Amino acid sequence: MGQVGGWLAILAGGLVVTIELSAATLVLSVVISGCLAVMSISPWRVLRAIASAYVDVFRSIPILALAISVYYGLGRVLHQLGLSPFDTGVLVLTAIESAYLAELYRGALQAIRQQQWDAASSVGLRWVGTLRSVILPQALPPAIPITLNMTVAIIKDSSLLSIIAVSEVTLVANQLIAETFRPTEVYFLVALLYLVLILPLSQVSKYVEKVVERRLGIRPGTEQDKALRRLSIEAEARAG
Amino acid sequence: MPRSSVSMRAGIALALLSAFVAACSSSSSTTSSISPASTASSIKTITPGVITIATYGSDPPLITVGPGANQLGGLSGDWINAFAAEFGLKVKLFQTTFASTLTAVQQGKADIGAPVYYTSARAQLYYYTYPVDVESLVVFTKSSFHYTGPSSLLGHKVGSVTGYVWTPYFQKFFGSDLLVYPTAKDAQTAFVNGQIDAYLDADLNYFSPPMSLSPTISVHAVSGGDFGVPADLVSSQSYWIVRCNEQGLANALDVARQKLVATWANLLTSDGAPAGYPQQTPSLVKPAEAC
Repeated sequence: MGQVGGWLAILAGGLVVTIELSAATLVLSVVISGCLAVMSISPWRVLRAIASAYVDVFRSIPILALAISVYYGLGRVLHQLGLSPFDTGVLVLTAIESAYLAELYRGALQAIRQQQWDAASSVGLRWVGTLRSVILPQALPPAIPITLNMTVAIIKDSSLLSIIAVSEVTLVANQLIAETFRPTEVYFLVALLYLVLILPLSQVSKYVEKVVERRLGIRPGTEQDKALRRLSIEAEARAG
Repeated sequence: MPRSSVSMRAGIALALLSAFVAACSSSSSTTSSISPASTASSIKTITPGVITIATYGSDPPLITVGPGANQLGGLSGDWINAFAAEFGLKVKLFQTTFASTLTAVQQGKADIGAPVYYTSARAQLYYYTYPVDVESLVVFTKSSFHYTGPSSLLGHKVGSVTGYVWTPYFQKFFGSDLLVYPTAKDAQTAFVNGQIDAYLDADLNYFSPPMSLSPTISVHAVSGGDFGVPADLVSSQSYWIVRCNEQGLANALDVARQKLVATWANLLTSDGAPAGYPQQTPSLVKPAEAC
């Protein structure tokens, strides 16, 4: 038990780096993907093209390939810029995760009915004003569970950055295995740590999703409504 | 969501994880065992007729992986190829990182593991062959770096490799300034790029890419106790390893090595050892086995 405690203490050091890496990536990804999503629905073709190109490019590149090519391929440049493996990891992860998040945010923005744009326009609001005062306040609530779900993905994807010497929990685990020769036990602890980190986040995400759906009337909230909905789905299925 | 539902889901997730781990553990113990012997009949490999070798990359002229998917060359390759030819085995490579080489052999995914150093902890899990080569720990810095000893590296970024016997000592010495890379080539690339100020590894690495005897790189000797590394780990020999219950395989490898005694020095030359390359004719003495 004492031995496991010692291993957990070592792995916890890596977990802290994982959390820091994920947090930095999340903040940057939310900002970048928010901008990209707005650009992708803007009336200006150039902005739409830039957003589209960014999303297409970074969704097509595997994280591992990008991390290796940036860290080792552009090593001299990164050195001149004073970027550490951690910094490089954040940049790589942000580039890719923000491409995915931008598409999800775009979906949240486009879910707002066209009539809302038309109504805002009829009272004299321009595109930016409509976005700020009408569209974004409605699109933000559904974006919250999306962001929380993406946080889970970011935490898991961060393990790939051990390839560029970011001392997150997977890299620490690999070194521990090389010293203890107990891969099953060490990886079990790593899985446990990821569960401890991700499981509460998943539950919060589900809870927020339900609250948002209820508030926006996307899904019926009461048990009676749910039962009625189930019945109607069954009836449709039979009819179909 | 009700709290009981959340805890039930967490419980199910943990149970699934435990079942997965148990399945992994049991699958790793289904390998065959043989009685120690050094005859052809005693060679039992994971895949009959095939010798699977876990390798962690090229370090010419000591070991070269490729150019074919299952081609092994260099001094280590000469030994294995001679052994494989003698016993009619086909060579298959399990290419991975250094740390995973150890795990691959331990879990029966590979019959033998590419040469590693001897430690008493490893000796309890692996059976060693005769030594392949002799190596010494050195510090690589750029020539412009003023190296005066271990303390001159404090506060600088230093690189090592996951799983190396020295890495835990470096971690204690350098703390967060130590960057641990998955492979030696990755660490060397980062060093050549200037992303780390020093790289600690065996002297042989200086003779192969990406360092390739570069005049802009300085090599500094390490003494016992430097960086907290014990003297017996500063200068060491590397050995092929097999699982403890595959001693017959290691013994057969040793027999093949004995047959190469007369040609060993010439093999190194023919493998393209550059001028100044350390003499690689270690005595054919086994380390203290502890299986």
